[in-house]
Amino acid sequence: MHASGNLRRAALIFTCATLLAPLAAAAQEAGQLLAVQQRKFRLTHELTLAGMFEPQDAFSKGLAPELAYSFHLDDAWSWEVLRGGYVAQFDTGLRQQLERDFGVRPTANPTLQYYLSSSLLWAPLYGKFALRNTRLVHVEAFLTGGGAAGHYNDNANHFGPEVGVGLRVFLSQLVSVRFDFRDAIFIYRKANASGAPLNQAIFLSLGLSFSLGGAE
Amino acid sequence: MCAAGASADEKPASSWLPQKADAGSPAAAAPAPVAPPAATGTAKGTGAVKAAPAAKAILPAPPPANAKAAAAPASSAAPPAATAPAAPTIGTRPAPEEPAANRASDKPAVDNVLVTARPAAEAAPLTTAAALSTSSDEEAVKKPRTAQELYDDALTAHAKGDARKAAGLFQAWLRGQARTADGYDTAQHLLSIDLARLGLVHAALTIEALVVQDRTRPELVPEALANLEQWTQGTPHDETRLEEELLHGTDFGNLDGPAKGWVLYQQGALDLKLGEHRWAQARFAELPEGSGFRARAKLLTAASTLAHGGRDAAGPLAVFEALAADTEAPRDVRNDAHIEAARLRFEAGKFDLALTHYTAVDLPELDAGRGQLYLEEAWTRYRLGDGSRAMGLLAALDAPSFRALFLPEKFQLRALIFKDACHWLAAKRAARGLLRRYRPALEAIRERQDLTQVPLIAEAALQKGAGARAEQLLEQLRKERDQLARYAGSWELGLQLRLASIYSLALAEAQRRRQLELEKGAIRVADELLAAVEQVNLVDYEVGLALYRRQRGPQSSGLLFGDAMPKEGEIGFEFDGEYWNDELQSLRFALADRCTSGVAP
Repeated sequence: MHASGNLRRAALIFTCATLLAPLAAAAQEAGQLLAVQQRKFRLTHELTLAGMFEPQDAFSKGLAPELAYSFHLDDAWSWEVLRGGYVAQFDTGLRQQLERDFGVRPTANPTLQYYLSSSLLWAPLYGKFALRNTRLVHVEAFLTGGGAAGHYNDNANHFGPEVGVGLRVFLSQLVSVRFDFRDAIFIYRKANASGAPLNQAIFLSLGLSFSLGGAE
Repeated sequence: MCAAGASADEKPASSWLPQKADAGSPAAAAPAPVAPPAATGTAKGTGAVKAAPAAKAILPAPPPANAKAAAAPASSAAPPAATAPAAPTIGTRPAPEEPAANRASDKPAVDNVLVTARPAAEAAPLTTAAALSTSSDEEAVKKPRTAQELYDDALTAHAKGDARKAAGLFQAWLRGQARTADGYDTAQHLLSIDLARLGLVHAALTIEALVVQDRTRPELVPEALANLEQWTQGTPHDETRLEEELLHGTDFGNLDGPAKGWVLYQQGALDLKLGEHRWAQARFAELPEGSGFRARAKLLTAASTLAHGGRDAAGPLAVFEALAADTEAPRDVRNDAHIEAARLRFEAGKFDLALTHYTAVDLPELDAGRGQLYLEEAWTRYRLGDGSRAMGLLAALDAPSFRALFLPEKFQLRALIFKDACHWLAAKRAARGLLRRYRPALEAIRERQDLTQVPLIAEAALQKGAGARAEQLLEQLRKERDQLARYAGSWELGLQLRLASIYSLALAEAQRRRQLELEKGAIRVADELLAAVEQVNLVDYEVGLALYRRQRGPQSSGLLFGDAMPKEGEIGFEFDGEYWNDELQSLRFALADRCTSGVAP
């Protein structure tokens, strides 16, 4: 009986050892292989020329030329010191349609005329894609957060927070294509004609960024 | 293969250390020739036609029935002025042919058949040739053409860049001429250019070599040599026939022209190989100033000195380092110089200097020569204590582009690094990786099978040096022969038969040489493999000893793995089994030093 117990215990130990051996080996070979490269694209001063589309308002759509300057603190963090644009509003015809077809006269909300913003950018993602196995395309994705000010056609200025996400595709050491999606909340000091205390503005920007030094 | 790669390939991998390759072997260090001056076939072709009208004036007026056909090339062949100047003699029309009865005695036996039939139906073979001129030459098909018209048509097609038609016409004209006929060499020369344009490089080299060999038109020789240089650039070719027999075996006298440097270099290189140093230096002394071949000659001389000069490597090393730093030298020469200097520095224990040379080698990321260089650089980094980068380079050798390379030393080095970092099990596994990888080959060796029939060994035997060149030549010839089949329908039988014969002979010879190289290479590979097995068995044994040795507290392995993580300005991509070409040189391995931490075994 006692011998049988010892035998069973030995068998158990042997089985455990056999099963755990590969794990032990794997743990011993726990080395990690990394491809460590010099970051190919680095920015310090950046000037962006872009076109902005403001799709939010059903009655009018805004289009604006944009200009921005950013200062890159390091590879991950940067400060977009100033971004601004002058918005041209294009009537969608909805107001006329409502008046003509339904006899409804919608409330006239003020529309954005120009805006300025300043944000902090954090770029946690930087990577590369293989373009048809012929060349590499380097891409960076970033988050933004900051404040924005807008001037409306009722001659009022409004301020508010702004957040967004963006994507940058590096074309060369000097030029990159940048896409930004931003959501700004302009807070009114007093409720507007429709009684809303704030106005949300969505900015979709696509432009070219020029590195003004610092790229390697 | 680029010369640097070739040079790297030549290294016998027989010891633990990256050894000085057969640097002294002229073949090993012989760099590929630099790009020749831009004497293109097109320029020559247009120049050839341009010269035709001038010559025409002294020719007898063509028969009225052929007037239109004869006039056409002259009027339509005017080449663009910018592309013009070529040797004025190249395109001159051959003198009017003699009656067949007068020529018969000059002709080879095979051609006599044609010649005797000629007067009665002089255009019979020519009409056949004209038939290949497709629909645009229907008129020519209807009217038999004289040899002169045929030659004119060939020149016109050549000038227009219609290489396929021109080749057929030139061969048709050549078939009706004696070897001593005026313009025979010119036609051969232009035919070879057309064949080269069609991608039939071996045929082009063979026919152009005849022009050089016969030298019945000495003024053609410089241009023909320039063509030979250009066509052999980076293309596998019959080195024995061209460089040894033709170039080395011919005295070109006072050769001028763009190929002078190439010819002198090839002659000198073979002199060196044969041990005729004085002759070689005399040839090299004639190399034109500023020619890239001067740098090649210095490299070759230094390599030869090293091979024959015993242990004194100081002189050659100084030459290699000077060439490596010479920005005027061709890139492949600098690469070869870096590699040779790196190996000498490594052997002298100057690992940091060796590393500087290895990292300065400028080769494409996936060049086959990179594999050997990665291995040698890994050894150097290992000696410098940089375990992280050494393991990274060994990992790069597992990339699909290099996986098939025969580099058994990589298993030894990997095992050594794991052993030094006190990763015993990993070390044993790495050492045994060699046995796993080459098990079929090792079994074949032990069973004394025919090694040339063992795929792993045969593949390895033809991966470097003369074996690789023999294999590449065979592949190139097969490719061209297949290409020849594409033109079968558009050429008359004469050209087709001539080219088929050229390729048949060349393939048979290439096959024979490949077999010889395979047999030699298989023995070399088997030796290297057995030596590598001995080494890994030794590592395995050492690991076994270390595994059961009493631990005397923490000890540093001397290897560094600390720089594996990215620093400021760097980006790190974790390796997940997918190899990216741009990362091969950037791989690093993070490994805990178990000797230091004292947790081993």
